[in-house]
Amino acid sequence: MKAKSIYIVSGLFLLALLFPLIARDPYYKHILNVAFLYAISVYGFNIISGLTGQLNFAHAGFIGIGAYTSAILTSTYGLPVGLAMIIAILVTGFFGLIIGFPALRTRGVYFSLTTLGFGVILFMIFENWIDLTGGPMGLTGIPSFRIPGIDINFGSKTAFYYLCLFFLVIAIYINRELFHSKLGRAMLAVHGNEDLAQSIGISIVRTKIIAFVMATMLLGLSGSLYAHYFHFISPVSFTIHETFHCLTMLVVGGMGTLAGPLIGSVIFTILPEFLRGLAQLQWIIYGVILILCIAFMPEGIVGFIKKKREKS
Amino acid sequence: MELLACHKVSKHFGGLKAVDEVDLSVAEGELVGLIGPNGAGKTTLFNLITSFINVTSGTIFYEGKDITRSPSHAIAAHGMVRTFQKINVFRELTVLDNVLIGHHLHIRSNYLQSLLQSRQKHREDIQMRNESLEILEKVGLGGWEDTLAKNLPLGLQRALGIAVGLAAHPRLLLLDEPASGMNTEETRYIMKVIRDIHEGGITILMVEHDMNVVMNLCERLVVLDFGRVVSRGTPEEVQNDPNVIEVYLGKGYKHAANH
Repeated sequence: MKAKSIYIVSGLFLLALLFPLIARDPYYKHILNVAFLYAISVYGFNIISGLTGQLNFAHAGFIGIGAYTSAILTSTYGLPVGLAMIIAILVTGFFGLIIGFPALRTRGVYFSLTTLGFGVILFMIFENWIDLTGGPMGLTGIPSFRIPGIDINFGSKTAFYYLCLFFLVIAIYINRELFHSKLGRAMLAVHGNEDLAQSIGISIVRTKIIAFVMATMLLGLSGSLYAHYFHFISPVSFTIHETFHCLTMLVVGGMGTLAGPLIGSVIFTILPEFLRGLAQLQWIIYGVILILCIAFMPEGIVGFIKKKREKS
Repeated sequence: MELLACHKVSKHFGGLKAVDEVDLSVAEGELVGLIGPNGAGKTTLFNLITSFINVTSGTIFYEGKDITRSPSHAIAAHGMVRTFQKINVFRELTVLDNVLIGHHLHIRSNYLQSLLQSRQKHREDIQMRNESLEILEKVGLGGWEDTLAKNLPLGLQRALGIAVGLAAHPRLLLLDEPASGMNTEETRYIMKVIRDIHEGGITILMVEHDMNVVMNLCERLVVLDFGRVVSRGTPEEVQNDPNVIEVYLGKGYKHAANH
């Protein structure tokens, strides 16, 4: 890393640490909490779609698996939240494995269509398996995160902010190390050229499945945190609409880049809040901004900045 | 010792016999050329050997092991690596990253060690980097390491394809038309590169259209036409084989020569 980027990163991190002290209004903390929850999931999206090049349209469905697993284990079965979170991550990853195995044997657009199907199936399960998921009414009374023996109320926006920041840093670190490791390079190879990747000994199916399991585990983490933050979940949070919202964050931020998912998530969490006052107009403006971004920065904000720098 | 042996290998696409009962063997240390007119089945044979497509019938052995049904990536792990006729590089990555990816089979440190910032991993990173730079130097790409592959001149992209293959440490390298699309100077350079690779101890089987390249480099040639082997032998033998002359010039050549 160059000296300049170390300064930028440490500065941003310091700012992130001090943010709850600067912003007294709980509303601002809430917005960033939501942005960070999105960012964790978009870092998962980045692994399977940005690095490995396989568009996963069941994104929100997997977040849902994490959220429902965590919610059911804690509110219905009374498990400690920390344990439930770990199980939620593992269960989501396990679903990633069993869905990924058939889905990732197909290439390109067929993988996307298969996952689109799975996303719809998952939504149907959330909505119709009423005994387990509460159906359209959802699940309420999900407890807050808690560390045994330590008296911190993670129901508060400030405490949850630091919890979320902690997991976000882990998600970023997981992505960062991929760029410098054999595994991540294999993902980039599969993305770039499957024939060439195979010719030098990279197993396409194995690489894709590892990427998908890693990605879905991050989605499970994001979903679990979501459930314990809002204390309430219902199927409408895990629709295909949410998948596209996250895809927008990834694409506009910069697919396959390290900073892109965070930048995209923050922008597209704050933007709708700014536009909220405009009622119906907000989605039209949102759409126009999205089209402009794609038209003028097809490689996302990070890709755009990189290109500008290369030219100068 | 025999490295590669194809035994009655065939590939039929419907009624078309693209490769028809081909026997081919390559011994360790050889530099063998596979030639023939367009559509003779040379690239198809490469695809069969490396399992990019499945054989209709026949068996392929590598070091005596039956690899007919092995997946492509496993074949590379055995030590047989191919390059491609069309330019095949990781276009969006830098030249150095391309070659680093080529080392995939030989990198020991796993992702966990990367997460834990293990020293062994960092040491290996430096070693791989140096080795990659050496390979780039060898194929004439020294100084290009930070360029995106897609921005390289075409001749150099082809050289990069070979560099990526070399990084996989092959014992047998299959080169598919390494000199195609190159000008005279680039061709001369790539010939030197191939000779160096061969002298470095790597066995080579190459498809090539440029007769100058093949006749100069190869110790032994196999000629395919319509999916069948029509001739084999040293370059001199093959050049004087009436079968080969017929394949390239057509049946009327004797008649034409008499006039």
